[in-house]
Amino acid sequence: MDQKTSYENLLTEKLDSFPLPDMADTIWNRIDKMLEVEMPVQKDQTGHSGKVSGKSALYWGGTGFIAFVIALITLFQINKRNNTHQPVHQTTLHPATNSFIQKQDSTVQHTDPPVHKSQPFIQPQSSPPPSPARRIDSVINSPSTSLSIRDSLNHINIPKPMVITPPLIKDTTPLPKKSRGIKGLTDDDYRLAPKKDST
Amino acid sequence: MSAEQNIQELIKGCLANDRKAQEGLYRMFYGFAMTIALRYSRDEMDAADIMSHAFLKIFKSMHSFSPDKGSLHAWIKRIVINEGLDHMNSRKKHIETIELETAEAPDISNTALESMSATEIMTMIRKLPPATHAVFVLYAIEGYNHREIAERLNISEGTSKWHLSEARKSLQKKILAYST
Repeated sequence: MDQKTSYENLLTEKLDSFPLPDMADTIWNRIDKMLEVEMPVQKDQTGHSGKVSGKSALYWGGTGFIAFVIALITLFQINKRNNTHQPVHQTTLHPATNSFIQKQDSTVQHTDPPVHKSQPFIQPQSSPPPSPARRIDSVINSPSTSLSIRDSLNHINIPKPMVITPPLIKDTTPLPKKSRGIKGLTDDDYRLAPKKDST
Repeated sequence: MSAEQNIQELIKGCLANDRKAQEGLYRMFYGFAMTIALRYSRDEMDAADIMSHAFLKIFKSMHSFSPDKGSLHAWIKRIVINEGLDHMNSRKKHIETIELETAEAPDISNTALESMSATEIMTMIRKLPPATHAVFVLYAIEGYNHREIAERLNISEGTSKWHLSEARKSLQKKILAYST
């Protein structure tokens, strides 16, 4: 059998170090064009193959939903800002709201969505009724609040904030004994013991 | 991520016809494949043809690759060599059918070879006739035996040995001419 000669081994080593031409991009462009013909990709919005279109739909759906929620919150904030500048005229406290207020947390500043079960506290003529908690805040802070409203507010049983006090730590160290009687005398001096006769 | 994990991810992407994965695999094996393609080409443009057809074949038949049968390197090498041989087949007009029992091995000075650059050696090999060029590269560089070369080129073992002898004689003359 023919064996490889020593110079052929040397040839192999030399050819392994042959400088490679910088044609990677050129050749890839050619391969890409051939792949587009032989193995076309099913393009969707993201340009990926059809197999991942479900994932991209979920992605875009989620992004749209988040954008919708952000838009709602922004609209809500704008409405709140507009309501703080509206002048509040004489209004009376609605009894349904009174019970609602009692149930509310002391911190009326919160971002919960409006509770639709209770009736509106203020009935402005033009704009839709805001949430009860916010109405209270806006009424209290409004410079044009009438006395009747203030009086009404005084009757509102707003629960006092819960003050959580830490449990008292009992001091177990004994109290110092109060000194009694004349100084210098001991308990023995008060003992009624018969004394022995000295004689 | 290790190199092995990276290759596995690229293979998965190629199976899904993901362009980015296909490009990633191509760029990872560009140097390896181009080194082989250059051995079967007359120039860089020929090598680029071999590369583009070879990688198209690789991506189209990725589903047939099985790690149990061998490594990805060996699989890609086989495809590039086959594509290189097909490219050479398209150029040659006919294959000599002279048979030889044993290929001649003329004496060639290693000293003269060591003084030559890789580019000069490659130029020498490329000037061989296509069939002789193919047999010489398959035998002397890739390490195939005459039986395997005969099967691949659809020639007899005797013809393969004849081509190897011719290649060695031709290279000996060129190297001697270079050294003097």
